[in-house]
Amino acid sequence: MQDPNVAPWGALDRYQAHFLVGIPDYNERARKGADVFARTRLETRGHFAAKKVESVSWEGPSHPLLVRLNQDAELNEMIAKQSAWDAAIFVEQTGENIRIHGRWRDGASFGIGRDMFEVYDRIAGHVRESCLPPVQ
Amino acid sequence: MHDDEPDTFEAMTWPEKFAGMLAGIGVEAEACGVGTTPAESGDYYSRYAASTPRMVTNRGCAVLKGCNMDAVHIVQKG
Repeated sequence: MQDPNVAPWGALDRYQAHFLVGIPDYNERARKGADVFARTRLETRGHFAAKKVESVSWEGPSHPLLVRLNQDAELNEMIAKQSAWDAAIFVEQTGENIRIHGRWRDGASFGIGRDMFEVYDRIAGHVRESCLPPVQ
Repeated sequence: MHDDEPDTFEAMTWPEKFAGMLAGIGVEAEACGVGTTPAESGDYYSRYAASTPRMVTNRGCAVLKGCNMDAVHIVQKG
């Protein structure tokens, strides 16, 4: 007889959306410098449901992208308006793609709004400016 | 008590749902089949940061148009 109380198994109810920026031939150029990685560092106030983001900065290995992200005060203000969960943003290189993503979300709250899309799009713009080969 | 939830639903993949959400905010997106884009092969994380998941499930991609990003890749943990 099968166990009537089956233990949970399989994939979890946690999803992530990775926004991709393709950098063709980047690996050749990457050998001359550090791989792309940047993530937000949040200064927060309060706890639990009342937690608010006060300021946002970016941290990671030295790269022109990191400089651009830290200099974009308007972008960091846009991120600071989001919840602490949404304000955690990661930019990392995997092969010929730069991935921009946040934290895990359960299926009911997984999605994208206008504000967060504008944030990701602006970050992708900086990625293109700092990582794409110069126009010949 | 009567359940208000409809008995039937439209089965959609996550890229299709996500593309619908993007269309709702005015971004043109087209869902692709699972495993049809090169970005879905290889690593999904650079392993630079600690505590990145070791096992993820690929849920497919959606191609974006008219923005700085090329596509969105949906992954599921575990």
